[in-house]
Amino acid sequence: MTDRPVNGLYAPDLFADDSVLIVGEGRWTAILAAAYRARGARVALVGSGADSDLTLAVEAGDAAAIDAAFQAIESSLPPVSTLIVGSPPRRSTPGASLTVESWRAITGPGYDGVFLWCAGFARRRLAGGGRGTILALMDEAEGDGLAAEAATAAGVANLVRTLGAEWGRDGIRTNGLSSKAFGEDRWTQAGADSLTAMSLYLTSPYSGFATCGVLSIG
Amino acid sequence: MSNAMVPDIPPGADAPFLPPGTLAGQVALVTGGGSGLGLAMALAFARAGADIAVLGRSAERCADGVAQIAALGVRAIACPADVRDEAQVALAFDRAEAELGPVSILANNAGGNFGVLSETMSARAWRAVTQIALDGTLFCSAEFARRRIAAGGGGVIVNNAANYVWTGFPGDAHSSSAKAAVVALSEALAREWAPHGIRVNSIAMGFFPHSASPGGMEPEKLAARGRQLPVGRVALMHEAGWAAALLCSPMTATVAGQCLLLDGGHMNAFRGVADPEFIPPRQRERIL
Repeated sequence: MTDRPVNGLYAPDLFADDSVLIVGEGRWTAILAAAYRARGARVALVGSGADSDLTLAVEAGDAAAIDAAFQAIESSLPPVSTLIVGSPPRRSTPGASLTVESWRAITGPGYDGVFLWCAGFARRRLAGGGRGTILALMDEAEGDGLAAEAATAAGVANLVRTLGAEWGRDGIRTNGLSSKAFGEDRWTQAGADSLTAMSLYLTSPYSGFATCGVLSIG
Repeated sequence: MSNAMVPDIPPGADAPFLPPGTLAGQVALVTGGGSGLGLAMALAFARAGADIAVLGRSAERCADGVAQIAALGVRAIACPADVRDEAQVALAFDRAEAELGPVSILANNAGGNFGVLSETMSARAWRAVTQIALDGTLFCSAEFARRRIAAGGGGVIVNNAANYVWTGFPGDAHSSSAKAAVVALSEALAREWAPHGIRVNSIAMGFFPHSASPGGMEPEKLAARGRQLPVGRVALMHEAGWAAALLCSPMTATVAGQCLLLDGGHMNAFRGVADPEFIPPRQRERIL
């Protein structure tokens, strides 16, 4: 791993003053948690699949629980200055048999949940007077049985464009990355490197003029 | 609730970005690389270890850029040429490869722009902008790809686009349409050349002021322009260089056919109906 160019991206202390909150499930959480920890960040995880400095279980879609989660994290770690929030794994339900329950199983955490985590993060940053970055991760879902996933991704993409403008003057930048790999949970080494490089870049001071953008990492 | 509302100042141009040597052994050809955004890209490639060929119409401007690039310790040469002329483009590549080796990175940055009412725009004015932006991008990309396909080594192209490619830009019909075409061309070429290991991406640039910009580099005018943007400031040239270097690095090997938005939120900053500047919704008298 050490000879991969992405491992040398940025100084090992670039995020030393920061806590990064990762919300989601899948191999990508481990990829990103390791990348931020290797650059000095403290990582809190709401989800599973990664080593972290603090792991919490939070009811998706509960704004009060999200506010409480931020309080819990910041009682033991530095303030959360980066939020990375992803969509849930695919369920692949044919549209004709898509029940309200199966629709909400995707849109609840993937759409409502992403918004609620972003809003909770922004409230925290605004109250604390600190800057921040948000990175939303979207499943490039298309095809039969993926109506809920596709709708969720499109909604989150325009949420990224909106929140980036709405909170930009407050020093909160918002960007998004998309990939089929988020939904399929299959990552090549090159794909993992692209995820790492683009995530680190978009949450670093080197991308201070980048906000409202959504980009596919393939 | 409030926040600092003070624009975030990025690291300086010489701050370490890509690890040293990330692009070592590679040759980057940058069109319009003698100044502005092209020079910023060339400098970022050079800081990562690439040797640089600067292609531009002005030999003097190319030479100025080459001097700055060479000061970083890499090899750099000027290749004066007009991107609208296929023969000149081929000769520039010949020269670059003869002196530096195979070109494996191409930055299509050359461009020109001026405001003009569409109903008064001459064919010459139209072509002055569109042929540099669109024809030039295709000619240089095709020359690059022919050589890379023959060599079998893959390669990377990054194209300079603009943030108004999705909206149009009244008074700027030539550039807004040509830059949108460049984004579509990038997507098409990325698909076409993917089997040959050639990646193509673009960057939708916002306002990167320079001495010839309206208002030049006067601090008060730059601050006023910054207040039009959600991030509260205009861009610095080297920020474009960082983005281009990352997209051309092996770290982003799966990123292809994409357009990276780098505009401070400008194109998403719908102003309030009564607001001359972008004022965040929370600070408006009325939210919409």
